[in-house]
Amino acid sequence: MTAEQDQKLLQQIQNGKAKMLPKAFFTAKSAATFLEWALLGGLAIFFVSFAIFYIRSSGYAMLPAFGYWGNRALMAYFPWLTSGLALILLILLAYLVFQKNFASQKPALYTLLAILLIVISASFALANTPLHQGLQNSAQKGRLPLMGRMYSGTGFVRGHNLFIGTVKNLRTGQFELVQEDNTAWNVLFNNNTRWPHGNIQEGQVVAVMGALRNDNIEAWGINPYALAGTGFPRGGMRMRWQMMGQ
Amino acid sequence: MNSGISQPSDESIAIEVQKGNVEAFGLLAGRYRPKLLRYGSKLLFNKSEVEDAVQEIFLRAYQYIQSFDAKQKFSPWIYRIAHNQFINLGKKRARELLDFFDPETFFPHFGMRPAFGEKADGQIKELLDEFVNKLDLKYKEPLLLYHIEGFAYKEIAQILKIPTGTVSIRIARGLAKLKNLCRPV
Repeated sequence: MTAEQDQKLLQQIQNGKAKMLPKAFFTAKSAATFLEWALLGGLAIFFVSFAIFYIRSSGYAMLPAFGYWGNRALMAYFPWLTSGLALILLILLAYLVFQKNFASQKPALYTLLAILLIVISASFALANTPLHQGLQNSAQKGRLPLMGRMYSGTGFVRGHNLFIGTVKNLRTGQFELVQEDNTAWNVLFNNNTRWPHGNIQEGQVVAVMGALRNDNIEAWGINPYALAGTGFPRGGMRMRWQMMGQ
Repeated sequence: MNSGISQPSDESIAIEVQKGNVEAFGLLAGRYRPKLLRYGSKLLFNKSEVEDAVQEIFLRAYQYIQSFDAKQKFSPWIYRIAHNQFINLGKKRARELLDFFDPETFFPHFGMRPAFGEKADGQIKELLDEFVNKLDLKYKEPLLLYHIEGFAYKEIAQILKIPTGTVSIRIARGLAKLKNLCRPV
């Protein structure tokens, strides 16, 4: 019975029922798989680096330094859509990599963490290049038809309870805040204003978190501003602890 | 009489097939047909369905033989094809996709060893014969591959595309379930 089946099998092969695929087919398949990973990984890196650029360039990176309300505001303004897309791409990529022998024999968590580490490192590196700034400039000039909308919310924020600008005319309880586009606001502060870095000086660039009322900003917190592109404010956690201790 | 003559290994025969020797593929089929029929009969109920599936496995193996890396063992490679074929016939492919998110695959707890008290391997085989169809596929397959087909954990991991730690866990849990099944009510 077995010998008969084996003979039948050889006949089927000789009759062309199954044709041996050439080695080149598998090489091309491996190359296609690699391209698929590169595409998914590249998109994930792009979206994560965009989220980093968005948070930095808008000044939202300063928000955690303002404590509880700062964190709440950051949650509200966080680019969840692009971050969610990046997360879906990451999980998809991890799943595809896991199908390969070298990855499947280790816990799937390791694959996911390794990919996460690579994507996040590459995203920070990409966020430090002029790519997003260039795309933002193109979007502002209307030269970025498809992705233009994505960049419409980037750059210094106006409103949203966070104001970034230069300190002018510093007086008791108030100063003038001149923003990048020369819009000036009168900032009011008092003993309840969170002031983690002590005195501010004229000419200093600061981030003010507060409520806009009658062309005045009633400041909840004031912080020296780490310029866009220089990363998240150093000592953010420490500042928060200091504020909580006040 | 043949004791002094060494049989060519599966891997060397596979290399011959890769070079275009179709007859050599008959040798491989002869060696693996009984094993795959046994394995398939534990996963599928219909005998003729198993026979057709095994024939299909060999045709597929021939088609994909150039993807076989001769530095690796041949048996896990052909059992991987067999596993896919049997799973497809059992329409359980969707469940396998979710394997990635199964906690046992995502982060297996290391250090678990298969333990079955005083039961010896022979008794496990008997119990598997009797109760195998009552076991969930995710426990059934590693148990069959380990206790019936004689594969090592690492090879089972290759066949099922799950971490070695997960194989260990599933064998241990499968044995525990088997123990519960054979306990008198």
